[in-house]
Amino acid sequence: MQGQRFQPVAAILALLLPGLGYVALGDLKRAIYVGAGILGLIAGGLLIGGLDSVDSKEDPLWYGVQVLNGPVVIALDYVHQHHFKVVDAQGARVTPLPAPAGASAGKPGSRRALARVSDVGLLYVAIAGMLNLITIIECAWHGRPGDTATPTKRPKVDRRKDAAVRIRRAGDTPS
Amino acid sequence: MNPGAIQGAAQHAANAPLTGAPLAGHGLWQGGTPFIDPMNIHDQWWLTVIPLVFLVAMAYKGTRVQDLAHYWRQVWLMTLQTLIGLILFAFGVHVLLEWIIPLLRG
Repeated sequence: MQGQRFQPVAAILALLLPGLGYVALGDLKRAIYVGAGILGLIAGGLLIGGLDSVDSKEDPLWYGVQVLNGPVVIALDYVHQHHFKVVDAQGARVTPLPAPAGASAGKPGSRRALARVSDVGLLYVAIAGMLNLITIIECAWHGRPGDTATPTKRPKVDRRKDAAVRIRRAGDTPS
Repeated sequence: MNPGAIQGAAQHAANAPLTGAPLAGHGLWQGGTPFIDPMNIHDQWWLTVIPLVFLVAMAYKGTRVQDLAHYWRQVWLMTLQTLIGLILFAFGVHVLLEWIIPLLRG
C-alpha cells in the first residue's frame, strides 16, 4: 500500500484503549470521535444488559469478540466474575436469575439479563470489539502523520479523456 | 419430620435456581443498579437499534472520513441510511412472510 507505514506503537495503544492509537498518530480529534463511539457502545451494552453483557465463562464465544476492546472489557469481566457472581449447588460461579417481585431475600450479585435484552447487551459490546479491530488495523498501517483516514471515495477518473490522452501520446512517439 | 422429607427438601433447595436481588417497582431497572443490572425494556428492545446505529456510525466514520469537517454530517447520513435500510428490510420480510408465502400456499 503506497505511502503507508507500519505503526506498531499506535496499534498497541489502540488495543489498550479505543481511540488511543490516533493520539499516538497526532490526531486528537479523531481519537475523541472514535473513542467516544466505541466506549459509548460498551457503556450502552452495560446500561441495557447489565454486567451480564460481558461474561467469559458463560458466553465464551461472544467474549472472544468482545475482548478485542482490550483491557476495558477484561477488567469488566474480572469484576463480574469475582464480585458479582454467586456459587451454585454444583460449585460453579454463575450470574443469578432475578428473584420474583416481592421476594424478601435475594443473594448478593447482579441479575442475569434475559431474552432479547441479554442479546442486545452482548451485541453492543461485541460490535464495539469489531469496530476496535478496524481501528487497530487503521492505526497499524498508517499513512503520513496527519493523513489519518482512508478516503471514503476514490477520485473520479474520466476514462474517455484518459484514453484519448494515451492515444495522443502514443501517436506523438516516433516509431 | 421424617429423614426422607428432609432429604427431599435439601435436594429441592440444591436444585432451585439461584436468584439475585428481587424485582421491585416499575422503573427501568426494577430496583436494580444501572450498569450492573439489566434494563427492563423487554417490550421496547427494538428501540435500542437507534443508539446502536448512531454509535457504530460515530466509530466507523471516525476512521473513514478524511476531512473531519464533514464528520457529523457523515455520521447522521450513515445513521439515517442504516435505519431506513433496516425499516425497508423489515417491511420486505413482513410482506414475504405475511402476504407472499400465504398466497403461494393457497
